[in-house]
Amino acid sequence: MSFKTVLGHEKSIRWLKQAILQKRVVHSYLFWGNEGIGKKYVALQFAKVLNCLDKGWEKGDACDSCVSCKKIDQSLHPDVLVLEPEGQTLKVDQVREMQKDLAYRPYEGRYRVIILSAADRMAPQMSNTLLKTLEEPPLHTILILIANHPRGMLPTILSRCHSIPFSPLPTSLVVRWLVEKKKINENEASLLALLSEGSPGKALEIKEEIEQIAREDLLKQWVGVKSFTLGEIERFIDSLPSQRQGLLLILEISKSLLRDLIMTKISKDFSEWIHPDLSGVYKAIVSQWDFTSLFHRLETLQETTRAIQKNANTRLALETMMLSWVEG
Amino acid sequence: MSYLVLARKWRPQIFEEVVGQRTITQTLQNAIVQRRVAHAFLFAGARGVGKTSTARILAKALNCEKGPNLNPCNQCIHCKEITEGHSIDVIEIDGASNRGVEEIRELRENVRYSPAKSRYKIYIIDEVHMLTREAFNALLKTLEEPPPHIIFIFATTEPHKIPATILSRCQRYDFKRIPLKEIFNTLKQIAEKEGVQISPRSLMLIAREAEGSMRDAQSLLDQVISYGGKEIRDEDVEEILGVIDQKILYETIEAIADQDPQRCIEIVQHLYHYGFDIQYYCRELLQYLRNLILIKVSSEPEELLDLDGEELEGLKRQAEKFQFEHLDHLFHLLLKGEQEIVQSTFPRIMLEMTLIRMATLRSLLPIDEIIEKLERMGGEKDKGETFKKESSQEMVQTQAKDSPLYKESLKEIGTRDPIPSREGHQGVPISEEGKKLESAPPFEEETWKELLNFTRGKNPILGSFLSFGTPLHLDGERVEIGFEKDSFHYERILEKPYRNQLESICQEFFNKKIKVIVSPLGEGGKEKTDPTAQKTSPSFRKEISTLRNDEHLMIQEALRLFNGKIVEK
Repeated sequence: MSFKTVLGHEKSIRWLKQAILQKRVVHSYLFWGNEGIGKKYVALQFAKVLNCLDKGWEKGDACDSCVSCKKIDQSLHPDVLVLEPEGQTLKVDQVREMQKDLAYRPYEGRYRVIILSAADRMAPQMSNTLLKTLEEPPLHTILILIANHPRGMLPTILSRCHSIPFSPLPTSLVVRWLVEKKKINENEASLLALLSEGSPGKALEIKEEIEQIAREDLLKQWVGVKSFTLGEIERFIDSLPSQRQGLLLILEISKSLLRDLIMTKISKDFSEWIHPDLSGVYKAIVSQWDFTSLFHRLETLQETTRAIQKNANTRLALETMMLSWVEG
Repeated sequence: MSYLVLARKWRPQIFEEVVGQRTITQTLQNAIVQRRVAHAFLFAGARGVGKTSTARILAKALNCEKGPNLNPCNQCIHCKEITEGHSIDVIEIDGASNRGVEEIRELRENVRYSPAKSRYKIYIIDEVHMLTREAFNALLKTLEEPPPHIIFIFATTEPHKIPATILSRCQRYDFKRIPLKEIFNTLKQIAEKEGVQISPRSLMLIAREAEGSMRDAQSLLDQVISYGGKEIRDEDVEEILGVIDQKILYETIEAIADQDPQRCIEIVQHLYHYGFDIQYYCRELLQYLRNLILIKVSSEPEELLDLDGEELEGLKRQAEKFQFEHLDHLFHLLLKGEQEIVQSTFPRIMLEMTLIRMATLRSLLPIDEIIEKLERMGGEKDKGETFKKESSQEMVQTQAKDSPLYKESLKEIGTRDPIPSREGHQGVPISEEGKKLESAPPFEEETWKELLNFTRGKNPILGSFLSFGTPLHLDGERVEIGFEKDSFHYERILEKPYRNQLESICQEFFNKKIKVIVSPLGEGGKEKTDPTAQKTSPSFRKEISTLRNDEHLMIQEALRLFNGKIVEK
């Protein structure tokens, strides 16, 4: 494992390599991009290169065979620290602890590398605690913040970091990776790749859940149906999972089904479906629909998702949504 | 030796080096020279404008061996110690990490002791807004009357979070955002000193992106250098800043103007393929729309827009394709879409949908024009001209010829409402019917009105039901009232209690036993055969039909939806 083994991200890696080779590695970075596309993985490789005993910092890549590289791979390196949130967000105590450590020189490596996960979910109070450390950390210290998007982070934090964007991977690359490394069949792989929007991590995460969702039924019995009776609404809601996370995924999939339907409506020879296996169904039902009601459905789905994320009563939210479908 | 970022390497060391804050540094310098230095300062301002730097320079100037002077010498031991951050008399505290009342108590203990070797003991509390309320209060007394050798300097980005009691004890300096030009010049100097070749255009891009923060600018320059090396190409800068080609924005708007959703999807694909940040794209598109709107409303857009001539011409040409209302609507759609994109787990879908919506949005007629048209049509009626269906049709067409959305909605209205007045479209000349109306005998109109009032007096609910009916027959033997078939009132009136009440009220009214019949009115049913119905019935059908002369689809739809009538025109 080294930079060479990273899937995609050529641009971001070129950037980091350049910094290493030119000896312009700064003390705080922000890696941001969609969830599960490999930011933390790259950060670990970066730590390896900086600490590689085979002079990785001169070659711009890690050797993968020295003690230091192996230790980092097994998360045993005393100077490479990954702070994962305990619960929803990073806790102040975790960071205080880390800040105390910073006062010492690195134990064995050239650099102490601290990787802070979910930096965009830190509470403002937390972020403020980091400000001074980010601006002028002790020598030989490199902080890497990992975030899904810099939006929502304090501007004072952002202005102290070098921000390196990670773009979503091209779908083809994700498909290849899923097929080759994870032995997933081609069809499923392409669905996962499209649904995860170029994020291998997310693709794996949703894999199992997706398998359990009968997408065709969802389209034929729900999203693609023009009208319901009250009884049908109740029966349908009963059939949905009661657990929030699973429900949210179903809502997301429904949105993607609607998106496909809208696309089918727009152009006859559209081919970039998220669910290519359902294209026959789309074509069969698309003529019953007009834009207004499709957009209405999409909008209400979006609203309901938001409400459920905010802990609304799921059953009520779903009922309200479906009732509005009937009226609209 | 680890690399020192530009922002730290080029941190200003004398007052004159602090960029863009001349008024503040001047004031501070004068204060030093005149020996009028306050004992507590508050430096407020956005990120990266020089608060902490100024605080350090001030500390140095006051404690300098050769001072206090206009500027620190940066040579003496005190100055050096402060720069390196380990002077015992200049204590820099991270307010965010030491925010509790305990830390402040400790500080108060130490305040009593005089400085170890310098003139003043200076406390710099950075990020002071993070102190807790108790901590602030614990400071109050000390802050008001500190020992003579103590100076406090607070720095914060959020002065509104600081209690008023603290604010009133400090001399407050508000640091402004640094002007574009000054950032540009500073960057240029740094680039020269670092031996980096970079074009002015790129420097300008960086300066603009920094939005008035010097640290942001230097940080960006740092990134650009570490990406591109000593000779920086413009493309590198564009890539790093993720600058979105104006051409893409232009094409997006063009596709929206042409109402071409297909093209919009292609643009999204393109964006994804090249790994652009979607939120950045949205922001830029919003900016672009804003520019278009400015061109629409301003007589001299050149002064408001920071664009070169060619770009401006392109924008102007594009602006002509839109009505102001349309742009405004697009802007709102995009603004809403942008928020959804941020929150969505699948931002791409939301972006596609937002753009498609924008592309299918029909251009609206400005309200003024609609009113004007309505008035013109009203005028035609006065002259007794028959209503031409074309005029309504023409209006529909101007709204949006090609928009699929509009056609849909038209269809919907058409199939949904069975309002007979639509026949007016097919060319039944109104004037004929009008004549009929006038020639009809006055029929028991008065009786009907009296009956209505009478009923209202007896039973208000029944009365209001009745007012929706149409008298079909009304004399001493028989009362026949028609109600719209399937209507709410028809169904209610058929219910036994209401029927009975109605009968007894009618009996009372006519003072004899009388037969009451309630009959349904079908599509274009009895009321048509009975002209009086049209005149006397307040039913909404009639309202609609009298509207024929100035009918407008929207008005009809509104009337239908709300079951309303037009009170006054």
